[in-house]
Amino acid sequence: MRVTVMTEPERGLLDEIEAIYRANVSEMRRVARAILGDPEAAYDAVQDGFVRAVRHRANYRGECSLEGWVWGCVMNAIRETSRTLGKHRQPLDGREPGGLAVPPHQDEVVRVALRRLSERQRLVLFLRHYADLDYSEIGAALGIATGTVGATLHAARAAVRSALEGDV
Amino acid sequence: MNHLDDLVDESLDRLFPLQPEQGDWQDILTRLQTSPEAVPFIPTVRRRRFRWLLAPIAVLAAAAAALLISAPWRDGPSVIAKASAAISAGSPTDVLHEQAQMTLLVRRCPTSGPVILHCRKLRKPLRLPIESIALWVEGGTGHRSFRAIQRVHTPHRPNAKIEIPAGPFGNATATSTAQTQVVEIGGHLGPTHVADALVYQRYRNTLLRFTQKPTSISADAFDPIALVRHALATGQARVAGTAMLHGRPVRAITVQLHNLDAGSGTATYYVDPTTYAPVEIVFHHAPNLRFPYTPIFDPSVPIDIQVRFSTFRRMPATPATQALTDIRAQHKSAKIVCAVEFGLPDC
Repeated sequence: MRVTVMTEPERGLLDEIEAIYRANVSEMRRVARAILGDPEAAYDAVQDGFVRAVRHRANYRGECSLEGWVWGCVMNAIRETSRTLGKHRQPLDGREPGGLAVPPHQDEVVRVALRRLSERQRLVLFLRHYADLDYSEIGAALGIATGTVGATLHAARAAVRSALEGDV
Repeated sequence: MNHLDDLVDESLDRLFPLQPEQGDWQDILTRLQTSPEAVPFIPTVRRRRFRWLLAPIAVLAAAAAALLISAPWRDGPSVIAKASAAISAGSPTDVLHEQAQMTLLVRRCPTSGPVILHCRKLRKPLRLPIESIALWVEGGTGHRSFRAIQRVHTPHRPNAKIEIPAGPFGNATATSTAQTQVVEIGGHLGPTHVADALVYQRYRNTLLRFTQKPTSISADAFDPIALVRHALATGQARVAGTAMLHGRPVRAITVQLHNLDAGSGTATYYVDPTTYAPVEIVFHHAPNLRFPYTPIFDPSVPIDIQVRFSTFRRMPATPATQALTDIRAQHKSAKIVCAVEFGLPDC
């Protein structure tokens, strides 16, 4: 068995990453399901994201919150999974187990509008809405500036809103 | 935010509803050990000139495999057997000494019951260290002497109400520190339940005699590892793999609990990979699991109980070590009094 000698800060980080996992796993899988449209792939992506976070925790420099950094690892894993699944997959196609059997027409409009968003807009919107992250954490997770997060989120919401407005 | 924004939010909630899920941290640790990045890349070197050696090597390998299969030493003790042996109750010539810290891991804000946290969402599991346990008990499984010291911490959280219930022997004895109470108890354990007990009252220097019907207090009430011991001995455990826990390598064993008092549930038991000594037990959301002085939660609130061991050792029974299991030997000047409030006969 391989014995890893860890420094005290690394031990502390491991405990903190575990705590982040336990506190956020539902939200992370929700975001992953929204992006990937496949519950099993979403499960694997989140687990793999945490494997990376644990393995590369020594790379955490404290430039952002640890939670934001871990979200970044998870988002990278989700995006890689998304690329691996390929273009044949149409995200936002699946019906969620907890969803309504006959969704309101309004939901279909929102679903179509979400598909038309750019990938970044979708990610920002999902992280804000489903994970309740603040702008700095979203920026850390996606590797973009905080100001860009605000602008992207504004544009994404405006696009979905206008789709609904046209429908109403 | 206008009306359309509300509609967007409602649709987003319906499209992907939040499904409360249990994480599987053990799976991450297993993936960490087995994923390709963890395995060093060893380039293969093709050496065709030694190809003629393949046939003799194959013959030798087959012979070795046959020898291994038929060899008597192949039935070496399994991980479960070693773990079980490491925490066995021992013999009457042993004295077991255990020390552990118990922490509650609360995953959702309880809003009713003896524990109320005024929060809407916990971003991290709330860790509530509630008690530390020190136990000295004679070995074996029959009638044996024991002494336990429990330091019960009343978790102080702002905007929270946390009530520590009275233990099986009444309220914990208050000491000078308001947040910590100490209960020292000793007596005899029967095969399954506490046979008789004395509770030390520090402020009066008395030993309060306490007896109940033998079925009321489990012998395991002061010994979390006893639950695991039963499960390992009865085949209700399986090896889950290796892991890193608090910076040290451990072996993980999944344990199915079927206990008279604890009901059913699961636990993950971590042991040292070399000595198989206990490192930690995490009881996963076992609403029926009750330890003395553990706050009682709403059963629907997911809570894990983490027991981290700092000491687990088996000492030879000598007058000195046996005195550690004897509460009367520890408090020779204390007068034994009857617990009148329990309606007992005269001492």
